Amino acid sequence: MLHLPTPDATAKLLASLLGRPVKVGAGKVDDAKLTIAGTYRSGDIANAAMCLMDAGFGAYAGAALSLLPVAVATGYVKKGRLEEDILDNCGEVLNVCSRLFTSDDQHRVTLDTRHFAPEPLPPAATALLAGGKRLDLVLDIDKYGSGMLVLAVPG
Amino acid sequence: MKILIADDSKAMRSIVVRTLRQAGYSGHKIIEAEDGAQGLALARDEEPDLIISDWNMPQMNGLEFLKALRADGVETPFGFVTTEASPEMRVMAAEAGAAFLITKPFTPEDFQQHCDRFLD
Repeated sequence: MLHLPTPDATAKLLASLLGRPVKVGAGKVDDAKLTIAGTYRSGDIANAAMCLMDAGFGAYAGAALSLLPVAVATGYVKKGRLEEDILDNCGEVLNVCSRLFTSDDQHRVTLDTRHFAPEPLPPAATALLAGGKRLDLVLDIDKYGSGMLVLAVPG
Repeated sequence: MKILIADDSKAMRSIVVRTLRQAGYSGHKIIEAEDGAQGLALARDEEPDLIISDWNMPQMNGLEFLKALRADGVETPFGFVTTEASPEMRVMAAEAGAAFLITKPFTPEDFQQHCDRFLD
């Protein structure tokens, strides 16, 4: 059974990946703004966990990963969606987030599918948002910006 | 020396290159592959001194890449840089002949710990 991490563990992993401080900020997640999703498989079980982001977190994290200028990320935040040159980066953030759902690597958790606006969220993601256990975070990436991240597992 | 980096994420290949540099390994020729199949072809053509590969890749995954190399009799040092690192995967990697397995996210120190014996 996969589990949800703590907010601190999430911020710590992302800080390590992005090479800069990531802080848990104040604010509330607005589900309507979650337009990026990664679904994870654990062994034979599909949709064993989900990671959802708004365009802000996806853009800032994706840009920070490759040290792209903040202005590049800000442009995507204004558009409300990411484009080709940063999708790979955001996908890698989703990939590494798979580590958040297991302790001491006891379970295999693999990024299975990735979804980016304008593609709608997969039904499994909206179902998990509505009925699963979730960790809602507003995270601030140092020198880039803040955005929403939701981790969810079946309830 | 020549280092082959195989990962289907261009961003992650760039980060591995940057981290190798931060770890103090500079002046080496870097060649990149987008998946295991391309990695295998480049390993045969370019004869790198060290191969650093992701595990989950399209076409041919990292473990299949390593096994194909060893089946060819190629004993180039081979290490994984991967998100997953279950005990089962560590055993499979070691049994196939991997020299190390570094988990993402990683630090320059992680690379120093595992690559010092292979790189100047």
